[in-house]
Amino acid sequence: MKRDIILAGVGGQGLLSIAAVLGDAALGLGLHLRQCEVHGMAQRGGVVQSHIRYSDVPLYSDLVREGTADLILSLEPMESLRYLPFLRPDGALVTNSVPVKNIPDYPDLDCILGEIRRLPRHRIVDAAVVAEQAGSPQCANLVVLGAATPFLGLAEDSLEAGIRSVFAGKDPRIVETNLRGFHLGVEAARRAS
Amino acid sequence: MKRILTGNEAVGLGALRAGVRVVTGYPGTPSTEALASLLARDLPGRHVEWSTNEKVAFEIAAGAAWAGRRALVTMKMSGLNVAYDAVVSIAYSGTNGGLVVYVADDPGVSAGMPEQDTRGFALMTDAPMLEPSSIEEAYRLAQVAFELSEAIGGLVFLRLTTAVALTYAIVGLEDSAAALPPAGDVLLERNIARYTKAGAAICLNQHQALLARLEAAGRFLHERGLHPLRLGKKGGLGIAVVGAPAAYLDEALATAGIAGSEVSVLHAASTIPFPTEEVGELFAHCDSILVLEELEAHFERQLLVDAQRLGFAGRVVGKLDGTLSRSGEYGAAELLRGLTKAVEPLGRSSSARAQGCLPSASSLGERPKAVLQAEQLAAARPITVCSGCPHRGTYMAIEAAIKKAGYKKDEVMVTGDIGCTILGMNPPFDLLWNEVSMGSSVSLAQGYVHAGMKTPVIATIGDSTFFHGGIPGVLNAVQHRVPLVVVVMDNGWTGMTGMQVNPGTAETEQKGGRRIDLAELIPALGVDRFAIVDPYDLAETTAILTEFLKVPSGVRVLLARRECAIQARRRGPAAGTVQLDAAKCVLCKQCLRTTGCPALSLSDGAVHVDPALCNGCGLCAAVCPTHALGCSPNAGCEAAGDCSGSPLQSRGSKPVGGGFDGGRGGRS
Repeated sequence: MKRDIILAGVGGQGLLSIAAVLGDAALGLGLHLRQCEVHGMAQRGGVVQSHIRYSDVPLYSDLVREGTADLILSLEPMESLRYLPFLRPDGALVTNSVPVKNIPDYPDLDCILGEIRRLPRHRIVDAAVVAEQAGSPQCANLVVLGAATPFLGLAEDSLEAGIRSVFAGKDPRIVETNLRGFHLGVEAARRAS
Repeated sequence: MKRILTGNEAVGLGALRAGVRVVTGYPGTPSTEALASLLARDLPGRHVEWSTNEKVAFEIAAGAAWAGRRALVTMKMSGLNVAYDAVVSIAYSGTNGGLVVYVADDPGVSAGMPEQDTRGFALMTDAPMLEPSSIEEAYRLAQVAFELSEAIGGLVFLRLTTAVALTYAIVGLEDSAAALPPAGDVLLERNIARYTKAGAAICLNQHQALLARLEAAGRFLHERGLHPLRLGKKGGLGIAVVGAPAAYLDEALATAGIAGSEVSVLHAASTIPFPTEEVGELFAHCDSILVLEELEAHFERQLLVDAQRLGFAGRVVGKLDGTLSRSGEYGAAELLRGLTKAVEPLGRSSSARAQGCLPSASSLGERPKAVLQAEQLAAARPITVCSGCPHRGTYMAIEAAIKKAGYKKDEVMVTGDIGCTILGMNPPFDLLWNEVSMGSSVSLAQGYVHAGMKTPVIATIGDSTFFHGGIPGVLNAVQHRVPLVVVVMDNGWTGMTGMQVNPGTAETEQKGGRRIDLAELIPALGVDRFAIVDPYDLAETTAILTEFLKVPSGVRVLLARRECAIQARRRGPAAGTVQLDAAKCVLCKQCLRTTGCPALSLSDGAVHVDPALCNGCGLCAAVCPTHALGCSPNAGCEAAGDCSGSPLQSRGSKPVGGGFDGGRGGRS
């Protein structure tokens, strides 16, 4: 088992928490892990990305090579397109459908979603609506992680353990909300497939 | 114990394991977390601090090392430029306790500033520089660096690049806590021949000793087997790799379909000192050599010198023959390009496998057209200041004051500086003209004055940058009576690198350290006019700046003071609540255009305030011509214009917004 994943989003969306959950799940399963932290500006509405690779055989390089990613997991629709050159032809793309329009020239959303739908394997989830159902808009990142579960190669309970571990220092209610968001994301993707 | 670590954390934990006693540094991407991760721990018997600047940090570490302790100093590549005056001097003198200078380079420029290769400093210093290629190696070589430093009696550089410094991996760790620094008395040695630079005899002798130490370092690394050499097929390709690209090599070989046994690989732990013996073995065994290193061709140049010296007649593939770039971060694609070029004479280029592995980065046009079109839909996102950022108010006030004072924006020079404050260069402010190095805004501005500017010149600088390097520039302006407006944007934190403390940070956050109040320091520099404002108060900030711009002479300093919104929000509620009265909104978009605030957007033909993002600074309300936007201060949060109760509170009693008579002439 090996997965090369590009995480994409905008600063402040909680991309690094997702990376931490995946990393923790990989650590728990005794997998090999490489994760490249944000190359860009966090917190300031800028572009944020992370490369994460995990495998049951040793890994060496930290960066995913163009044309080889198994999955693009994006918290913002336009950002998912930015990394298309990294995706392998039969790779999967999972994205939040809610745009972050902090720029004047944000392209037509239908156009963006149209491009995503042309890919052989994709999931588009309205993470804002689902996160609201889970109890907090803050867990939208975990909704998208849940929606990506079919492509992650990691069991749901490993990811759950990762969520519990990463948010261990927080209010227990936050952990529960995040877990609810994650599970609703799993279901949303199941319905969409 | 297995843990997920970054390269930076591995450096910090490696040093801890080595029994480091003093750790100093100044924040800078991609190096910050090496020290930050130690500062977050409780480490009795050790001293860890963010210092005022890199030169100060280095000198503290050097003093501790002269006193016989192990010391680590951390910085980004630009910081080494600042520290270097002291670095070269200490290198000449040598050290007693292990002295390790951790510096992080940023090939590909993920965080701004020049793409400099600090191995050039190691060359100039004649000091060894270890170059870990992975997180595991960073942990191990950080420990070796201390041993090496003490073995040769000289300082040792430890260099990571972004790809290693900021990457996570699972690393097996020994117990760091067990490695307490050795106790014992401080070493006091009176020896001017070693610890001063007084006279030619002293300096020349120290230079000889320095050269001998570098030679000793070469022997140390060779004898320890730290430059592993794996010999493959005789007469085949040899690969010399140093730093981060070593991590990609095995995968690149596999992708290119080249068996590991076919090639010989030298994985060097350093460029300086150069692994002459191992390279000699590579020459004796291989017909051609591929050199893989990021940025400058330092390794390749020395390899070519050795090739000449040892009579190696084979081909050398690298940067100097044009195959690989002297710029950018190397990923697997660059390694594949080098491998493809290097195996050409072996007749492999025509093989289908080699064809298939041609790097896609060099073949942008060969990407499927659909992918290319879809990728181009992704518009750039220029970074801006956060919602609620006090700097936003300062930028808006500077722009408004320039107009009120009767000038055009395009004729007034506003110099910028390092840190969050530089974001005023981006839309919608487009206010700052330049950014050079820590503190440069103040001195650069004086150059524009002397060049004959007919309009006022304004320098902008953040608090940490001001403490770091801005003060000498202000002193110079005062001494030479330079007409200048300086805006110090004091948010109480070193923000851009992720909220580190600086001398001006609230004392409650200083872990026992004292706070130095800029409101007391700046007047003491002898400036002609001084005022403090709350940048959330757009009207007053604009009014005082306008007055400053109208005065024809003197050094006028405005301290725009309000705590970083992110930090303030971590402790308490938003500053205020913004409401929109949709009936009054005429959709003029003045709020969006002037503030560029991430909390404001236009959807379905109406202005929308995102309550999750809004920090209630009220700047949008301040510019709304119809008062459709209103802002009321939140209970439990300081009212705009009053810093009392906030950690930025000045110890003096000078009212915010009130003037301060700098001793000469009153506030206008």
